[in-house]
Amino acid sequence: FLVLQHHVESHPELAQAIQTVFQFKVTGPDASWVIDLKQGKVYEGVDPKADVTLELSDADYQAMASGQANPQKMYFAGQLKIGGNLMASQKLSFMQKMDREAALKAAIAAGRVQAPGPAAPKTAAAPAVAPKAAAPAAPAAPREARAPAVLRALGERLAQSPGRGAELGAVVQLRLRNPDASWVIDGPANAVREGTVEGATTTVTIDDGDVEALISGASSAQDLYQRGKLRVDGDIAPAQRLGIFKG
Amino acid sequence: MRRVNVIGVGMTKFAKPGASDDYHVMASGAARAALADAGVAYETIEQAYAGYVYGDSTCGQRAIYEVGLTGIPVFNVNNNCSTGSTALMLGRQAVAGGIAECVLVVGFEKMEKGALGNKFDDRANPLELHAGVMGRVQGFNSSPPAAQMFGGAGREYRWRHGTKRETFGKISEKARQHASKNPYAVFKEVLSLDEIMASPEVFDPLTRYQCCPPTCGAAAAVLCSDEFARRHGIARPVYIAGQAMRTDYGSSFGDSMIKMVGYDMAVAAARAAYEEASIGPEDVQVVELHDCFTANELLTYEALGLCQEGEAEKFIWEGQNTYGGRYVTNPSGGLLSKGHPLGATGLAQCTELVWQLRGQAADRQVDGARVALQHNLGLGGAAVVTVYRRD
Repeated sequence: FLVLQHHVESHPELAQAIQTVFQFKVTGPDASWVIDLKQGKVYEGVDPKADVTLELSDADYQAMASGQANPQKMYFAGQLKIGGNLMASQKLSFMQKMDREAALKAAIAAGRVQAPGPAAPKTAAAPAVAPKAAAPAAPAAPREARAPAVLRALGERLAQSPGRGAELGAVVQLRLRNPDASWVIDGPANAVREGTVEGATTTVTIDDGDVEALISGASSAQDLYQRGKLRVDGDIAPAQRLGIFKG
Repeated sequence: MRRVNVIGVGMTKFAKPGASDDYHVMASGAARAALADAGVAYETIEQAYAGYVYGDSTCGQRAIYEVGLTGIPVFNVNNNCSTGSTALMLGRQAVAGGIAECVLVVGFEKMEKGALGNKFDDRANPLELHAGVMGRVQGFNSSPPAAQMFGGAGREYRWRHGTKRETFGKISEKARQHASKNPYAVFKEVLSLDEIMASPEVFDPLTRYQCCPPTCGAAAAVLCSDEFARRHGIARPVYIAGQAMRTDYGSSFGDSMIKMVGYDMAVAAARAAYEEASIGPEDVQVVELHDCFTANELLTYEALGLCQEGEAEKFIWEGQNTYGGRYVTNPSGGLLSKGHPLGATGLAQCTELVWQLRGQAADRQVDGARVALQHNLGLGGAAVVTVYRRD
């Protein structure tokens, strides 16, 4: 979806031509995305005024988006459910017409998605730095963890700035999800380590994929928290101070 | 403006969706109860205001025709969850403005199971401006939209003030305690804080027991002038000392979830109502406020000036919001435990507060209740704050 988002945003003539809002409800993993081709926006969420709603599995969405599968065929095969204005769903043909390779390259260049590794699937709807919407096209394979590298790098930076960690004011337990892992940012010890700590006064639960944005400062802790991507249990103040590690 | 007295109140026992009488039966039942309480025959009523949200046009007449057919003006009113007190305000204005001596106000709702949603998807959603704030600041997921909005406001408050999740849960604990003494409430079973926190999460920080249920019910009030009360030998009636409605300001549509769910409307309406009544929050003993979700009750303590901004957590854990504390908030059990039939709620709040001021609240009686405060909020939106007194 992120490739599509970049494509739609860089091609305003698409919205002008198509004038339709598509609501996608994808399952496995579940997500709802709006392709708003009236305003030229693609975003995760629900638009109660969408012209047409499409429900299909994530794998089928990938196939449709990559041009490998035809929406009409999928509909008649029962793989794609359409609600609302059926006629409007025909306008999805723009996706078939899109040059996938070019769109993917453009999205990577714009920093919207990570370049897929050699083993990554052919289809581009597998962003690595993204909400959990589009998983890799091999659903059985666990997601590769990105946070450990980020956290180890943070540990190294802290080692070079004595006292930096003290500003955090606490030992923060990180519970990573997807894949699951536990890390500790120990403010007073100015260190980062894998594992759990007994009696943590602050526990932050966050997706592995969001850790980089949090630590780099690309996303503020408050923004991630308000969007439900970061959960805090216990004392909130240290979580508010996680931004001190950016840079 | 003339003084307006509330001389009769009545309500039905609230019920779960699918377990109630039809709307016109509930509403006429509540109306008759209020008329009986006032000792006034329906023929004396000069105007009727009927509040409901879900239903075709003229449901008010269908309900009121069950009580009588006298040809009087009937006004059908809606303002989302603040429908009941909106109807009340219109009735008050009619009497205060000298247009009528005695009016009937009734609010009712027959609800479906499940979360609130829109009926008409072929036209602008009235909450689209509010939803836009949420889309920008928080995003959308598949939880019930109202829970996302008020839960999101709770999130914003929690981030700002470091509030514990249990603080929100404690509000439900109190609601259940109060409702256990209210024969009109839907959920009277007392729950522990642990049970409330352990219930499934609906939208962080709200768990299931922290969200009000869809409910069916009706409530009604009879309002009259001083002259009318005198002529009918009604001494020491409860009266409306102050009342104000405020709708959204520009601040509702910025980047704050707290403001989007009506914080500034509530502050402004409260200020105006206090001013009209020549009182401050310190003069109030008993409050019925809009606890559609625990987060909103917490925010409303501050909006109404019951405690300072940022002090709500302390206020709650010290028990200042219940018997033995500075105020008793939602002695009826509130929307959370008594239930929330959209059209009826504002009038059910009125009914409880009138009973409290008359000393008729049985096990829920707040000692020394002399000044009562009501806060009723509807997204879309409107906030109505009313001050009642009894001399």
